[in-house]
Amino acid sequence: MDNNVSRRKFLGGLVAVPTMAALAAPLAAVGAYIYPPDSFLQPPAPKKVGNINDLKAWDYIPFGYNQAPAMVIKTDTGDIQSFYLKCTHLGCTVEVPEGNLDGKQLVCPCHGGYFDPLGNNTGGPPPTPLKQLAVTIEENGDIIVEERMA
Amino acid sequence: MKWIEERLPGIGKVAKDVAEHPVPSHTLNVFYCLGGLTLIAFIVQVVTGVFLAMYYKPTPEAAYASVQMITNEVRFGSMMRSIHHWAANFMVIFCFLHMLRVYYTGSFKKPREMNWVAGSFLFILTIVMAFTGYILPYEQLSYWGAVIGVETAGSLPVVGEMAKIMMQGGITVSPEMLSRFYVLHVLVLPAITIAFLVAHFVMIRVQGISDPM
Repeated sequence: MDNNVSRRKFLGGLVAVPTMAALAAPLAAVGAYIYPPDSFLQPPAPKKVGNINDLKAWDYIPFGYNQAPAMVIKTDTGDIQSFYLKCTHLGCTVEVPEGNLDGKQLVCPCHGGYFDPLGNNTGGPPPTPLKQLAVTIEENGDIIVEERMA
Repeated sequence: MKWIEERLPGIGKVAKDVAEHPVPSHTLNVFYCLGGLTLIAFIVQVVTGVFLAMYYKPTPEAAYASVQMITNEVRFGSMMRSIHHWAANFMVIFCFLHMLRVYYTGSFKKPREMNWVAGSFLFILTIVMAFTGYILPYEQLSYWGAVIGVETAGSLPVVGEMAKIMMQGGITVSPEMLSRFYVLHVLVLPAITIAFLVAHFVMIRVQGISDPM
């Protein structure tokens, strides 16, 4: 047995560990306090953006959601798709042509990224399709969009 | 430690002097701890106050809701608010009892008159910080408490009306009142208090603790 450690030093070490723990515990509480409360972390509320019956195939409705531009579009099979108009390359707003989008393309003006009317990247630098929103159709045809939960 | 000593020679000795300063044996007594307890309460107020200020919003529309939010939604928020509330109460009580001890033991006498005056200012600052903090939750009690304080100031001769307008931020109670009390509570008064505390402690070190009765 090593007798070089004095009683004082040994007891000091013994006390130091729980003391450090006791001092560190409030730090954990402080960290939890600083982290935003759950109510700050909710996704934005679902938003009604239009009615499916007002749209013909390849008609679209632009709208703002979650502090970003977005749109919904009706396909020729009658499906509704929705996605943000935020380019997946560097975050510019993608330009959408006026009117019906049948056979047209969405263009990002910053670096020439191309997307088809469903938001799929078809040319230029964008690495992935535009980010989709979840779409729900109410019984009366109202289109409700919301953030797609991971 | 050696690294610092190499760059600031003598710092170790200064730190040792500050940390290991002996006190007279007659002060090893709970009544001589009251000033230190007041200081601890003040430090607790500074720390918890900084955290409360992260979420508090000093406008009439948002103040009450933000305090409710701290209490009910922020993790450990009700604990942080309770500590701030209770340490405030204890700071006033400890400060008052410390003053009583100094008065009872005659410690305010020559050569310590200036420190008694500095301490008196610290007592006033403590009361004013407690009063300005009282309005911040902006509930009924806060609002009418502030109105009473303003009216009391307004009853002073000569300067009363002026003081009232300065506190209210207008000729009647206005939304400006909350901003004024808030900035006093979190910025102006603590800064003045810290300056007085430093003076208070420097004078204690220079003059030493008073002799026993």
